[in-house]
Amino acid sequence: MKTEQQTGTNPPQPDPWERIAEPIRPVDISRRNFAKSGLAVSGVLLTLSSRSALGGNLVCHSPSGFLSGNASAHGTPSSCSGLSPGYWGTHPESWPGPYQAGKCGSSYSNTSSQDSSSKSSSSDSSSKSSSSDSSSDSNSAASSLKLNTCTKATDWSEGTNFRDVFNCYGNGSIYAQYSMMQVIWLNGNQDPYQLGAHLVAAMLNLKSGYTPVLTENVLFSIYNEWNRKGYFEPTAGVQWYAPDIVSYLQSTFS
Amino acid sequence: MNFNPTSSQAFMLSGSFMPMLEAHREWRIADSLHFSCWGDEYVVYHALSGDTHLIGKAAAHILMALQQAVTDTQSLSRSLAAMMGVRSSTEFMLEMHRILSDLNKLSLIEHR
Repeated sequence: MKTEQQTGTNPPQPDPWERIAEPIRPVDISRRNFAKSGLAVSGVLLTLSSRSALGGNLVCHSPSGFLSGNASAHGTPSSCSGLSPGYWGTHPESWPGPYQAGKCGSSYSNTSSQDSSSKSSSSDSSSKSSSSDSSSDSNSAASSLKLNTCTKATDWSEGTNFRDVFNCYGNGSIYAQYSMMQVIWLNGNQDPYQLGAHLVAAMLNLKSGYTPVLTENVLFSIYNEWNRKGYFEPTAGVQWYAPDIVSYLQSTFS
Repeated sequence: MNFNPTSSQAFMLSGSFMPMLEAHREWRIADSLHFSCWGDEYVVYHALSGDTHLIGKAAAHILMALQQAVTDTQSLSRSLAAMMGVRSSTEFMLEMHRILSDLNKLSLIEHR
């Protein structure tokens, strides 16, 4: 890119895509030979491809890698096996500590004794909880039947509060009054683009070890910037709004 | 460029040869494109694919025309020829189709 050859009074703008990786496709030589109209050299000259993790690709990326197509500069790409909000919403028994799903109605409870402790402004504790799982209900058929009806936020009570994990003083204030499980079950008006649900799923996934490229620090970075500004910048000049963040988080699901 | 020379529907356009079907094929621009330009070179970032493309003036003209409205091949070629100050010769049309094909393959444009 010939930024240094630019004429005019404006200084060359920094190239926001300097770090975008290869492969690079060269210009077709035969097209250079066609110069009568100048059209041949004014079409598509160069493409820097990015492997998109959208569409079910099991290879997942960090946010900058998602943008550029590289999970890392070395070694093999990372794979992710994250689970969707729908899974976590219907499998409270699988929630990793210290997070508690809460109670649905009166016949199901998550009896994990650990409280939530992570805050979005804290550094990554890096220690995975080894807390015990909740004990299963003795009447599994009845509890299963009950769970199938717990598809609304109002069906759930107790559980780890969203605000105890994610800072809710900005755009995230829409989630402040809900538990993490309730956020999963919010409807479209309450949780536009299901961003909150995907954030909860992403946190549960990383705590479960399903998404190695998405650390707690990275997830909090994404959330905190969106919370403050309404978007996240994976790299200079690129802004991810809620639907873009959701798309990225979905790329870490299997 | 694919065309059937025996087709009775083929017609001449300013000395070029373009099947009627191709001439009236409509194109539209993809969503989520971001542009920057340096002189006669343009950089297009496609947010959905994450791809970045360096394109020339002709391709940029086509994309900007399609940004305004869905347009068919014939209208695009006339507009482009006028912008470049050239005649719509056969070679021009062949190259025009190549550019459209490239842009289509890269998912920057699509048939309506």
